[in-house]
Amino acid sequence: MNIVQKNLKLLRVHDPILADRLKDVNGGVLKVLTAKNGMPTAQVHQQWIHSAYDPWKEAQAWAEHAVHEHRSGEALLTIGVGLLYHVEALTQILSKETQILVLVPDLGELLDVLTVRSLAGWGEQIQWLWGDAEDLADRVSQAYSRIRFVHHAPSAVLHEPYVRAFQYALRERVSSKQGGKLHVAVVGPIYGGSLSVTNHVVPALEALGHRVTWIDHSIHYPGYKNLERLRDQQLRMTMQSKFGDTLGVVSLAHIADDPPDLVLAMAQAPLSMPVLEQLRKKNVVTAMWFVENFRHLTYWQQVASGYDFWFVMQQEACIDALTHAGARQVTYLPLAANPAIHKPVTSCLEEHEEFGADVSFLGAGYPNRRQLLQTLLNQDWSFKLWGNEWENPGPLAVALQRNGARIDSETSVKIFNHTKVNINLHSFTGHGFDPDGDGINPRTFELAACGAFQIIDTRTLLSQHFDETMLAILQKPEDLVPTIQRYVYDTDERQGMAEASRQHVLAHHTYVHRMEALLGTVGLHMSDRIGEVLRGDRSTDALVAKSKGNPELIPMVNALPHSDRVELQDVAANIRAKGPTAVLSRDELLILMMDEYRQETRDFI
Amino acid sequence: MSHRLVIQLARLGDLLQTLPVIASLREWYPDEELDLLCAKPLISVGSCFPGIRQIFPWDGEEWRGIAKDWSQKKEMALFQAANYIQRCQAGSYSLAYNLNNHPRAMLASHLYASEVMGSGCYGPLSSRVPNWVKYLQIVGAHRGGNRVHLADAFCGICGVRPPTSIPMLKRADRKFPMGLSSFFSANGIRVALVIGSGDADRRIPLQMWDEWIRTFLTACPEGRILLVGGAGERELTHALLDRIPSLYLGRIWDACGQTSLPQLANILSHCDWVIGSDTGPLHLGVASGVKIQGFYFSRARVHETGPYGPGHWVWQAEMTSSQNEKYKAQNGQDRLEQNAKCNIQNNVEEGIHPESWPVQESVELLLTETCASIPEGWSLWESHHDEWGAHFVQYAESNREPGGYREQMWDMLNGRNVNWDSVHELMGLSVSSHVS
Repeated sequence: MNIVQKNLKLLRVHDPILADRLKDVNGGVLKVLTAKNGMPTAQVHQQWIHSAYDPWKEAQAWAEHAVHEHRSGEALLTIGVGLLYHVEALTQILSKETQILVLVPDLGELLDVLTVRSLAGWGEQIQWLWGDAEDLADRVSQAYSRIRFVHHAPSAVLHEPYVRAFQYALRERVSSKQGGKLHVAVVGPIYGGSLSVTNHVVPALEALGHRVTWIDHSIHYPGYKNLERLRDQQLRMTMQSKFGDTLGVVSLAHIADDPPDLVLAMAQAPLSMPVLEQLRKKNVVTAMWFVENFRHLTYWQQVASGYDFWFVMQQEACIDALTHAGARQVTYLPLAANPAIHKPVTSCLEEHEEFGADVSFLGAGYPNRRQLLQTLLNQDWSFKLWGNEWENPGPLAVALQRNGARIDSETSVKIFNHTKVNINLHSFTGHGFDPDGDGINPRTFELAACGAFQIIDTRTLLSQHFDETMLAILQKPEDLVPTIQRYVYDTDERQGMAEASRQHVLAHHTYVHRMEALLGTVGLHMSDRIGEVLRGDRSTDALVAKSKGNPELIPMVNALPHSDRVELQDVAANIRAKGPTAVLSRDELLILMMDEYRQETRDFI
Repeated sequence: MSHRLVIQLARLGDLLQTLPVIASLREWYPDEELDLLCAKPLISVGSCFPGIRQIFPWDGEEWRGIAKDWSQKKEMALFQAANYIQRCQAGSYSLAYNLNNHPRAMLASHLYASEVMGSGCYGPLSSRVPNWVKYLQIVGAHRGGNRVHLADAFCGICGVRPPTSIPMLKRADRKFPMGLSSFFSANGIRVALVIGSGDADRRIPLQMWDEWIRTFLTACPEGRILLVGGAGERELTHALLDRIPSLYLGRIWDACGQTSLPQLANILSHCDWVIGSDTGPLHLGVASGVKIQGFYFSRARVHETGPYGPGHWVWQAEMTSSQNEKYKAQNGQDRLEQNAKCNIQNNVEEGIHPESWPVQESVELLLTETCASIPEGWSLWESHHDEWGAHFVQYAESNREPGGYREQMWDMLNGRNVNWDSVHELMGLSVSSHVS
């Protein structure tokens, strides 16, 4: 019996279907070579997957580091196959009871391992995850409540799309099962586009039942704005930077005052690297939802390593850039709509008069828009142009509404609703469409949620969220006028597509969905902290169940208030509420003592 | 026979000022067994206390860890907390004497004992405090003309009178650190200088120490100096030694950061004098039987925390005439006169910072136990002890204790219904400064 046969025999004991499938698979994914120490090693496209000198020693070092944050009771899910040295090293460090799962994106790669390395003595401990990513996510989410991911980067990178699809699918399953309540501190910007997204994020988190502390820095905008009166540019910039630093410390003070489970910073939140380092020192989990184009605003480079989690609205290039800059965990999270705001509305005659049009565009005056929208003038339909930053509009002046004033959310909903054909053209500083255009703007979701029909320029990520039954998609700038002509007079088709897009957004693309996904990702990667809360493992009932092994603890735990979330300060406050003459039990005194020391750990600043 | 527990979770100075109350409790209740709960880093000092059966450490670090665990594993945190108290025989005391007015000490008192004296005696959640604790709160907030020493107030809290004799630490570690045997082997006056201070506001400038060492070593050719302090003060002593001319260096030894607290107590007990401003090591010197010269400034006041027992000296910083003028301009003549009337010479909220130092005078005092003149900005006090505890008499002045202050205060505070207006009046405070 050769090594492959022996390995297949071993695999058959736990996973006979996998053993059978491997018989029909071709290997050759890995180029197997011999390392300096004589052990097999591997390359793919001339990149080393394992050390060319001593793959085993390298794997041991990797495993030591990988298990650092692993907690008892967690299943360890390994991303990356290679020649499995790293997995074998994990089995040597972890107890036999630890469940080690290995994601196998390509059976050919696994066959390559079976050809050169024996699984005997350690392979029995492994559970192999293979097959369709969606099915796999179903099975994993049902079978394991606490999962810790470990990435073997050189081999994980070989199958990134599959790994990402699996993780997103798993996140969705986990998100849908969330029950526990978190305390999230949302740190907003002083001003800017991400401020309106913050306005949607806060109610979305609350709608999910989480407690939200909104650290709203927009109230400081007048002070910030006032600094623009300083004529010396250098001085002005210095003062604005100092102003931001101060607001960072103000954020810390709020966080210290009522420590949250998670700090969610929105793009342009004034959290500098020293503030983020202080939060990490105090063991506070931080996430940033960067709802900006990473190519336009580049300050993320300075704080990439400061956050535990990054969420971005663009994919590959953005994720790569952030990872390269030191970000630990970067996840794609597109923008969305808020159905409480973005909805179909009816209005009076006057409003119809002002906002009604055959064709409208709402947005800032970027060069590509200035050029393309001119083609909509002097047509046999009416055209209105809304938004700010349209200085020197040229021929577009005849279409520009309200003298180029900034349009608020409420008004934009009225414009969307009263327009037959809404043009949604992504910003670009050149001519035509942005050749690197990937992420989709919030207006796409907002228009759809309003039940408004839209024509949109193509984006690489658009097809992940919408199709042509919902939106009219332009492949090239020259198609704009003919597409308008096609739809502007076809009410039925417009309304059908608009309604389809609205239903689709309500089902999949609201801020509530986004917050579910965001927290699901954080919970998935912080299984023992955020994950435990989200699973409801910190409820009183769960605590009672956990105390079964220590019967003397059950009266103590039973005495805690029955709620979703048992927090020390709440329990202590209940005890203190008994009044100055209360006679306290030993357990109550212990809880108050712990709370005394908890308050000390709040010393953030 | 029952077991009683003394709880003192504060710093070194407070722990050492607990010695008198322990001595007094032993005098008053010779048949009761007495244990001590103190901060873990000070356990080695507590172990040298006479009259204590057992000593338990209070480990703040462990409690911080337990509190942190709550957010991770609540049932384990409760289990660990219960376990901690179990290890320290919680609930086994008939009475706890709590000397700290702090929620942790109040909670610990109730965890350990069925009855509590001191803060928390009306229940762990009650803000009501016993008379002596309230008195200390008034002293802390308004200072006034207080003449009751903190160590004696501890006795009052515990329901006993001050001890009849001055308690000393047991000798624990008799070994000298490497290189110090030569300091102790020759004849001559041995002086330990406490160079630094845990409170930066109470640190004596290096320039003063430089001058003091030169003056002393010139005036006393047989004299030798030992620099003492914690590891954090090593840089300070290095900086000081850099300033001293090499001709003196053979008569200066540096033990900074090289000793445990019991070792330091042993070293100090072999010195003739301990001089400095940091009250913790000064009290350690007192409890080791050595004479003290303390420089009290900033918010340190001789009557509250001066060296306990007879024969010690304290230089108390006072306002100079220029500081007086400044104070008068800011607070008005009335306040100044009222302070003077009540014998309150340094009741300045932000504390007094000396403009000059009594270098010649303190060296003269050390060598002759006399002082020809007291420089402006300072007063000199000699410590005494009587049935009402520690008290201090101003040198070469008729400034005796005003009108039997301590006896009256003990009578008032030990009474059933305290007239707090009378307490304030005796302290020289206006009635409006009541702490309700």
